Amino acid sequence: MGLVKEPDGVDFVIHSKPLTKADEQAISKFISDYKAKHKLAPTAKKTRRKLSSKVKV
Amino acid sequence: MKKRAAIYLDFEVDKLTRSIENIVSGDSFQTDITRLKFTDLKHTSKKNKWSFDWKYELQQNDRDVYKLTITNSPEIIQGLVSLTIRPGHVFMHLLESAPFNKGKNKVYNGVAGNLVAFACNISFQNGNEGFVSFQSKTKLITHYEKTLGAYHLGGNNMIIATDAAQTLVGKYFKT
Repeated sequence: MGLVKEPDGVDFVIHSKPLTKADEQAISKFISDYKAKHKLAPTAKKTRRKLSSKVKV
Repeated sequence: MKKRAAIYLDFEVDKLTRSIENIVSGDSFQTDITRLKFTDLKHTSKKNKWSFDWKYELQQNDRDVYKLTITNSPEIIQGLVSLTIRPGHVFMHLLESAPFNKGKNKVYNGVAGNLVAFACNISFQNGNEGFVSFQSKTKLITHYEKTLGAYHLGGNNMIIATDAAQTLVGKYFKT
């Protein structure tokens, strides 16, 4: 991401299309897939090492 | 009731800066984003060469409309965005740079990117993890993929996911 040249000859024409149920479903699916894919890997459980109070020799 | 036509977004993302940049001088200006008021509408009419019907946007209860201005120059609107916070993401209905920030002779760079980053920030603030969706004109899909890191979902649907949203917010918003 940085300096990006604007496309030449872009006109600000407005087109029409309602957001369909299918569009909404595609958005929801993307979000759930993205979240599943980018889920943080579970970190290893930290275990506290117990020190034995006395060591028999 | 007359059915309104849906609109594809065709904002141009020119440069990602922490503020907006004067094209001629290269000077950067800090910006503020605040809610658009009905009293602002006299500046944002089609008569003043704005493309969209911002009065209609402001009248919609499900939408929040924001304006971008230069700090200490609140009367001059540099760009506008209309958003809805939906379950899971923020949907951008409209985004438009001011008429003087469009085309070859535009005054400032960074207006559209600034407003998109704001939408991402709203998404994070509402627990939507930065997800922002919008519809793009076909010819600008690649442009948004490259500049915003947006994903093309097919058709004209695009979405900015968490990673790209974090990058955008990091560029524009001081933490």
